[in-house]
Amino acid sequence: MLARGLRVAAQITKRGLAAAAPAQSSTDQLRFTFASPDKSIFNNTVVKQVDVPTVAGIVGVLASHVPTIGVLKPGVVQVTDNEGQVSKYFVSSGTLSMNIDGSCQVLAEEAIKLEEIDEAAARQELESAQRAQNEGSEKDRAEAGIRVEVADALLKAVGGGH
Amino acid sequence: MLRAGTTKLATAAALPICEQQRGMATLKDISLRLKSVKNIQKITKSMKMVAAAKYAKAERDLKGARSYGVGAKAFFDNIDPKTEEAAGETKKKQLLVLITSDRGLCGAVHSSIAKEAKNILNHKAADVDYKLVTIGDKSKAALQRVFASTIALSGNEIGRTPPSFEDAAIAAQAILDSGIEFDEGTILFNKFKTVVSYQTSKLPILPLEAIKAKEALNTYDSVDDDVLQSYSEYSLAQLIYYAMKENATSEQSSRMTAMDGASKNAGEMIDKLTLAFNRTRQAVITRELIEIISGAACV
Repeated sequence: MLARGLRVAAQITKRGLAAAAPAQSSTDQLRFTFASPDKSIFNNTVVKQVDVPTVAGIVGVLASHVPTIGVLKPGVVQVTDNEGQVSKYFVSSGTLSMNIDGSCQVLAEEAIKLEEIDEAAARQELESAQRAQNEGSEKDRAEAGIRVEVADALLKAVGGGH
Repeated sequence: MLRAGTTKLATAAALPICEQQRGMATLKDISLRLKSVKNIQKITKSMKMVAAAKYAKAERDLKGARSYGVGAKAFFDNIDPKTEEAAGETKKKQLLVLITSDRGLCGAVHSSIAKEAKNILNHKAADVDYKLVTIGDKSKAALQRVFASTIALSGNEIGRTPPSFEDAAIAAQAILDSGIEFDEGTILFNKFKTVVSYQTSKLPILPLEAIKAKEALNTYDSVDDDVLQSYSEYSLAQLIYYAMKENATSEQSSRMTAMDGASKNAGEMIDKLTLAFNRTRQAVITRELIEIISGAACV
């Protein structure tokens, strides 16, 4: 009898919370979606914290973060899930949005696990991009500059810092 | 009951043979037709295999693309919640992006998009101005005759390879570069449901000024113009990519079912023609025998 009473009470409070959620700016759980065009790494999973490299700096997102949007810079996204496991992914560019309903989306153009980065290939890419930066039209130089930035960040990520 | 049915079928099969003796009675005609239908069946069967393989790949890609696309949509859902009252008033300048491809023989995939677009254009209010961006030759061909003036941009070379983010980025860049001004936009595509069904759906897109005008944007922290512009441009590419992926999967599954149906129809035709061929062959032999017998009788 007591157990049933408790269960009913729990259900009532849960229903109460659900009704209040739209009124609040965000819930106390961070629902995280991390995807790239060809694969989805996290899909509305509940995690504890996400560190995202944006043009405005590294943004640490926890639950109930204020809504914001941002543009990603080449760098490492670090995801800490509820058990404390940390996973790191390198992203080349993309968008971040932390929404009013408490969901966070990091949509990267390319995302790769740090362990899978080929350091030699990254170094080669950096060298060829730096060479390309000195020749060509304004647009070519700008594109080469972007390649340099990405390759540089790749090497830094593989090197251990981020 | 069964016997009555078979006699009916027999008379039905016999009737065309009587007409055939006036029209295409010769064995050669029937065998020619039989050969060509058999070839067609081989072609449609192989098209079905190819479409099945492409569909399997497209569906795998769609899993990743779906969370990407839904994530891209989430921001717009949040700042622009669809309420009942807001739905009534349509803005003056609208953009329609139609996602189709260049290749046909895929069922009603392209025609459903064209039909929906025609529907929207025919039932629009007088002061609303629509501009069309047709991705894929099929939609352009369908709307060319009546609505050629509304087509602002068209893309082709779609459908040969699975759509990549680069293709979507090219499309988004073209839309932004062309300087089309719009207050509100919609992407029309076919959302993939199951192998045998898809649904023509709409994705809303908002240009930069419209996003700035939304009041929900004020709750977003530290949003400066630069970031907002980059974000809105990137989102356009993301949404187009998602629509392209869904449409590609729907198209391949629809082509698979269409070619499967065509192979079955060809199979039925082959059966009927084979029966006709055999009857004609037997009739020819019987006629020859009769001629020989009656000729011998003459002698």
